[in-house]
Amino acid sequence: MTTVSSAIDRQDPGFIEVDNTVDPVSGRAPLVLGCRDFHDVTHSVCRVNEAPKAPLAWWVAFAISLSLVGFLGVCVLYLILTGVGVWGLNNPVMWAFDITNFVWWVGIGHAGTLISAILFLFRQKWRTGINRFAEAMTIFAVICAGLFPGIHVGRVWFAYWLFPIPNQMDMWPQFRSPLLWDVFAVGTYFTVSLVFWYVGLIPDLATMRDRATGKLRQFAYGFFALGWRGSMRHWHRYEVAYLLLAALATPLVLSVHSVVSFDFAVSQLPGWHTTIFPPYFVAGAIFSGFAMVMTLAVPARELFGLKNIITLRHLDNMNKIILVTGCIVGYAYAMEFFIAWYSGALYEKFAFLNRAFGQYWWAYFIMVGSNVITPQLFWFKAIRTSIPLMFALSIVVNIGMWFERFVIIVSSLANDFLPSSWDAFFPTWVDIGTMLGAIGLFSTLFLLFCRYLPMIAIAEVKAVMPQADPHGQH
Amino acid sequence: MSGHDHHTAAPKIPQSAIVDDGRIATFARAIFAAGVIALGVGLYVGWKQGNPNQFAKIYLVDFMFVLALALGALVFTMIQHLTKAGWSPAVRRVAEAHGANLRWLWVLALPVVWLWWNGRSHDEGHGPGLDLLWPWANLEHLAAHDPAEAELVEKKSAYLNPDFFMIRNLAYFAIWALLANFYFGRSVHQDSTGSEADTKSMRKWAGPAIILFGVTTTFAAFDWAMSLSPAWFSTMFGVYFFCVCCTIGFSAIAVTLLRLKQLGFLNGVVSAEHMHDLGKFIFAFGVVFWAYIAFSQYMLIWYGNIPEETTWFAARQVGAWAWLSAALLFGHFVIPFVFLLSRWVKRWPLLLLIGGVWMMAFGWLDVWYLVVPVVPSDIGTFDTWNAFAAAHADATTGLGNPAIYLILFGMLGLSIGSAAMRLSRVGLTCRRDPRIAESIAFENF
Amino acid sequence: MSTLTIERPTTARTADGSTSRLWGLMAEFKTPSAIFEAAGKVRDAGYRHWDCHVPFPVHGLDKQMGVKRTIIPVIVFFAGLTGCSVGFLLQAFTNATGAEWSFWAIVWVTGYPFLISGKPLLSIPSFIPVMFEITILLSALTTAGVMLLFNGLPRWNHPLLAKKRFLRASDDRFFIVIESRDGRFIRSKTEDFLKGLGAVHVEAVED
Repeated sequence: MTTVSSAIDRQDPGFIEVDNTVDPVSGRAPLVLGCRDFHDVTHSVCRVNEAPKAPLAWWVAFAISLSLVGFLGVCVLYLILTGVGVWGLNNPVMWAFDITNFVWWVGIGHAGTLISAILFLFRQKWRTGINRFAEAMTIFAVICAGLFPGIHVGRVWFAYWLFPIPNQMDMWPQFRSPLLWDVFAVGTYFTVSLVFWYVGLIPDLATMRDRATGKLRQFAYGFFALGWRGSMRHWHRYEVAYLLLAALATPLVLSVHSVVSFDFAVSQLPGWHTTIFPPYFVAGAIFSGFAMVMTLAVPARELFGLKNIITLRHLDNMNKIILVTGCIVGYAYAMEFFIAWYSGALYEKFAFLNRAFGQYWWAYFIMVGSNVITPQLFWFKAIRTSIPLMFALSIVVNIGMWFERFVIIVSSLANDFLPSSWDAFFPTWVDIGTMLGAIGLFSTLFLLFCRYLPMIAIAEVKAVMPQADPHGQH
Repeated sequence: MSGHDHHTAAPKIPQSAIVDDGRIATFARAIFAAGVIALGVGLYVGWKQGNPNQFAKIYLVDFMFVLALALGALVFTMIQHLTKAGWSPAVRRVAEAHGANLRWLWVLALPVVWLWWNGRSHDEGHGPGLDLLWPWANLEHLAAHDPAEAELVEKKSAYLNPDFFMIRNLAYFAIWALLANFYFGRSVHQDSTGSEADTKSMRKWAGPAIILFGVTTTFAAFDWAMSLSPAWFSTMFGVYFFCVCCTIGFSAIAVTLLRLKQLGFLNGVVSAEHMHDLGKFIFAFGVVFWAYIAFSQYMLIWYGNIPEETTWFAARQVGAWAWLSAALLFGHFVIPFVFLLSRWVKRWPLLLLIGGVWMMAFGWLDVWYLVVPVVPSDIGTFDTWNAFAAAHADATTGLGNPAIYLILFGMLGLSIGSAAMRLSRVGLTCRRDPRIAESIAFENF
Repeated sequence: MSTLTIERPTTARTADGSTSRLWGLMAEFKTPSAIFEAAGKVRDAGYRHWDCHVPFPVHGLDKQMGVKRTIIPVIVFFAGLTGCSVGFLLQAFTNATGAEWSFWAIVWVTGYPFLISGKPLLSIPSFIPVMFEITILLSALTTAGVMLLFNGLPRWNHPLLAKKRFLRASDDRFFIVIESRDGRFIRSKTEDFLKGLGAVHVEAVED
């Protein structure tokens, strides 16, 4: 008995300053620093949730987020009671902040799935440090995304028409419409991400259960741990299932933003109808998602003392992915421009010139500047490993990617084929309030997650430590 | 991966596993010689048929096939360095050897230079010019033949003109030769020195190299394949051609390794684990990603239904071309998807060999599909799709022509022969790569 | 706690005074390599009803135990095929036919052939996204569901979960458990066997 309690009471491992961003040409840099053994990992992660009081910063952030959620409620209620006219929409700009926010949030979600599924298939062991909260981010981002198409239809009480439910009118949804594909794509994406996340959580919930002291905690974690007891026969099926889920989530994540891009690309509107949209949207989604992971990871690892597990190497790797996807996005911008000229079509040419030099030129230059030009700074290792710079650049990318969607949606709609019907879009306070409110909703959910669930995939981190190798030292 | 994480004892690889005992060199000479003969006969047969346009297209398809093979192998090598992969040093040499063909593949493109030179003089009877393949190269002729298209194409002449076309091609081939030479040369250099500096510089340049590769292959795809129908455009086309390269190149790497193993080489170096991973690469890029890109391009154009875009697909859905399109759908996606999905298929040498050869065959057919069909110039005169389809129901794919296969065998013989020669000369694996021990011991989960 | 009363019969008196049957024996190991080696010996000794309990999947331990590869992928493949067909039939029925259909004679539904934007009624290219999504949805739900089903989860009342020392199975300790229902289980012999494997601690688990 004594060994058990003394192990649990052991002091926290201090933060150990090791530069693990230097890549040994052979061998591998360590992914977990400062943790001498498996128990240190368990402890570093669980103590965040077990602390009797959350840090003050958490409370401040939570209060701000929660008041934004309240404001979101006001905006949505006002919208529903009055109509979509409370937004700055007009004819021809019938989509603006609503769909921009929808695409932005869905895109942010993509990084979570990329980290949990695609990096898993590519055997990137460093993903274990960040996958749990990136997946949580996915789920919360998809919730925020789902809000916008839900409310932009105006009469939300008819939202059930989106689903193939037999009804008294003998009418069915129109399955040739990309907006309906969205319903299925985003719905599936949310469900599968939630399942994937929960399956990953089960062993860690069991850890939380086994460490819990109070009755309520024991019951709550125990209930959701489903009685997991680490049986190797269970692990065997679990690992196969995890691999399958990763293999299913990978094409799924490609499909979701492709389907979102179809909303635009199946139309005949110049600037929307272009064949590169699907992979271009996927790359942009991963790009913006990684930026958001960075925006969350940098403060979280400071605040909750997770620098041993979310190391500088993890951040460096994420910055490299931001650089790669930023280049792919730049490639897509260039292809669009080149082909718009090459097509020889008057409207195509105009649409792109109008983006760069028309009434929304400033949005276009924010987009190119933040998405293509500033990420090039990540070619330099000094910038990739500087915490303040990477945090600042990640916010720049978040903003840039929001403007990308704004540019695509609004500039193409505002100046279409017929100059007499051109108009401009200006947001109202409800537009801006809903956008900020969604950010509040996202951060509220994320803060609750940080407080009550293990932010790091404990079992997965243990499995990539050198001590985990059964053929290693005895 | 196990306990060798922090030290790299040089692995003990038996010489017999990675050094040619003469059989590879003999094979290389034989296949190279056979290639020269087949190419000669093929060119003669093709020339004698008296249809220069068809002959030129056959040549272009076969050339693009061997080029895509080398490009696919090159990008495989570069991806391994970009990601600092630990599993692949054991198999990378084969990719490097195929990629190094880019050093000389420009030779096979010389007939294009000849066409360009011929086309420069506008005198009567100057022989065929670039417009033998690319209608934009002779706007006067195009205007006489199809004025509407000529009007559109004229707007692109700042890009689509013979001289700029040749300058671009010079740049493509120079860049590819440079990249292939660098990645093959550095890797071989490391075999003798074991220097970590080689690995470092290959990794360091991988990022810029892939960017250069992406830009050049995109525009090469526009120039050679997309501009065959000069009015048509698709922003996705470069990505599509990238998929073609992956399909053919990755399959060729797997097939080469499996053949080498059948001959008794690479025992204890390349295992079922590596083949499993290569199978995944073929499955992911050659089957699934290709299908994703092809479907997205098709569906968006089908859905948008804008005449200037749909004509390209219309030409590929009349007569026998409809069957070829369906063959691609099933042969390039549905059948290999189900076949390569299972783990045990990828780990079973004979089955993976069949899968690899199959994918190369359909990769070739894909190039044929991209290059050969011509949008009928009367397409604007029909009221309905059905009337158009009925009028062109007799369109043939021209796949029965023996010249196709002779030239294909000829070019493949030259490519495989010189890759094999290279392997025979420098050995079959990157024996002193810093991660070779990790690679040999690698296991899938 | 560190020593064990070997003479105990297969029933034991628990803390609250009730009696319970012996469920099995649990041996504790400190490192992955120790349990890896021990597991091979348990397998070779011919035990069938036994298991390892570990805080994370120890690489290769399942193979070492002789666990056969699960058939979950095969089931998921068929779930995917089902999803794909359901997706196609749903869309073809609702948008491309005027057929009537009844579910168990309770719900009557009618297809609604709906012509829009000049597309054919059976527009396969535009049906593919939804077919794909339903394929993935059904496959993923099947994967998770079948994994839990085959693992017999949820099960909140397992005998092992009542053991104090076993709490560390989700932290940093590695356990081999041999159940008493195993044909080769003889309490004293099995216990000696487990101790001989290098366990740091061996303990009885009651039902």
